[in-house]
Amino acid sequence: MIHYLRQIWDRFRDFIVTGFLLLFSLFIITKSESPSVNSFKTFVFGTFSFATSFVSNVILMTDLRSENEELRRKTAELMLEVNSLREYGIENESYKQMLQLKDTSTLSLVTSKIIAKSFSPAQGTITLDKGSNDGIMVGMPVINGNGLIGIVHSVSSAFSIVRTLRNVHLKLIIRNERSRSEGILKWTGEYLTVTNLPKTADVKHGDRIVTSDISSVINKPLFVGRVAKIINPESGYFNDLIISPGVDFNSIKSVFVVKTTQFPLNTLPQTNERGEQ
Amino acid sequence: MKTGWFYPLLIFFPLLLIQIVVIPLISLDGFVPNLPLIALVFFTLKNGRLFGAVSGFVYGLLIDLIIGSLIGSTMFSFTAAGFTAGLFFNENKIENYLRSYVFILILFLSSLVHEVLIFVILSFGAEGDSFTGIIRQSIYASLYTSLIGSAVIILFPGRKFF
Repeated sequence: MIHYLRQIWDRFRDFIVTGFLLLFSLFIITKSESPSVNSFKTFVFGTFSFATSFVSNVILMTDLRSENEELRRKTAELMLEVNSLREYGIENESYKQMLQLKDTSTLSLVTSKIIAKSFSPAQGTITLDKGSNDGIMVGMPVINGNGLIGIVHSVSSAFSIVRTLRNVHLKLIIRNERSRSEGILKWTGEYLTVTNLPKTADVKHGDRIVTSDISSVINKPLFVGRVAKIINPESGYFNDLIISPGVDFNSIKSVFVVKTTQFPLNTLPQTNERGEQ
Repeated sequence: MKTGWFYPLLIFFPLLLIQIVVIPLISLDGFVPNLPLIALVFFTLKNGRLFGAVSGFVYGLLIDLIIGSLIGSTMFSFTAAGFTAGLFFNENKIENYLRSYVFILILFLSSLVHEVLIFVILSFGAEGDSFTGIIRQSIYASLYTSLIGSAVIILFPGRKFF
């Protein structure tokens, strides 16, 4: 019997070991959201990120001059925009006083550099050089001047990992800024789409899409992108939209983490009844 | 000539560092070549399929931990990709494979296995992903990896492309 088993082992050893490793990988996937696995993962990425951060800083230094020029241009553009928004702000303030509304915004921004990016189109994660020491918590939105980038997924003391809009697991409730119709935004692996939008919803090509204030994750209207294509199937009650994101995910180097007191800690891994993270 | 376990592990960390910091600078529409996979295929062709599966498993585990991906996903896809590359292992033809276009073909196949598997695992349960979309994305990513992997043939001493 032992001789027979040994023969089988000798003959199929590679297949048996590979099969075991594949099964073990699948087992690990099922345990991937457990607290002990997550804390180990946080420890490892936090440790390796020190090396990543060093190399990233060296590379970024060579890129600083062109980035400075770009920032100066952007500052000038924003200055013009602020001037016009100030007018609206004054007007808005007087309306709020008339309606006796309280200003509930508690937003502040933490500047952060991207020190690493994932390397498969479906993974959609970035590593930031700021962590819990800087007040960053799981669930905080990450933006840049062009709109929403993603949401903080894991945090170590000095680094954090963000799930970008190009992560298949990230789902968000969004709103059409013009018509106020709402839907669920997700990345299919190829496109950023809004699904299950009723056919009666008023949507036009080029409409601005922002995050919805009914979202349990991002309850501030942050710009996501514009409607690039309306998919209108002949059957069924719903339309799908393809969204062109405001952010160019291939070229982002630095970001802002939006700190607010309104995000409950560790809400991200759970899914609410609307299928949103 | 077999390399043993030391060199593949030694080369992994600098490669991963380059992969996540430098390689994004040459991304094409979000696609980037996969340097750890190139190294995995290279070492597997020198050491055999068991080596490919085990080192793919270790590489994948480290990648999942370091880049914060779904833990187990790259472990699974790299194990399968390493084993796939190992199927072409032939002790008498190691040098020929690594010096010719055969290396690129094996790299492309292994990369395709990795990309398809990781795409399926990560998008499992997500609506809207189509089979053709997965295949198209995987082919683009594999082509880019193979293109960069052709540098191995160029750098390998005594090369003969065809």
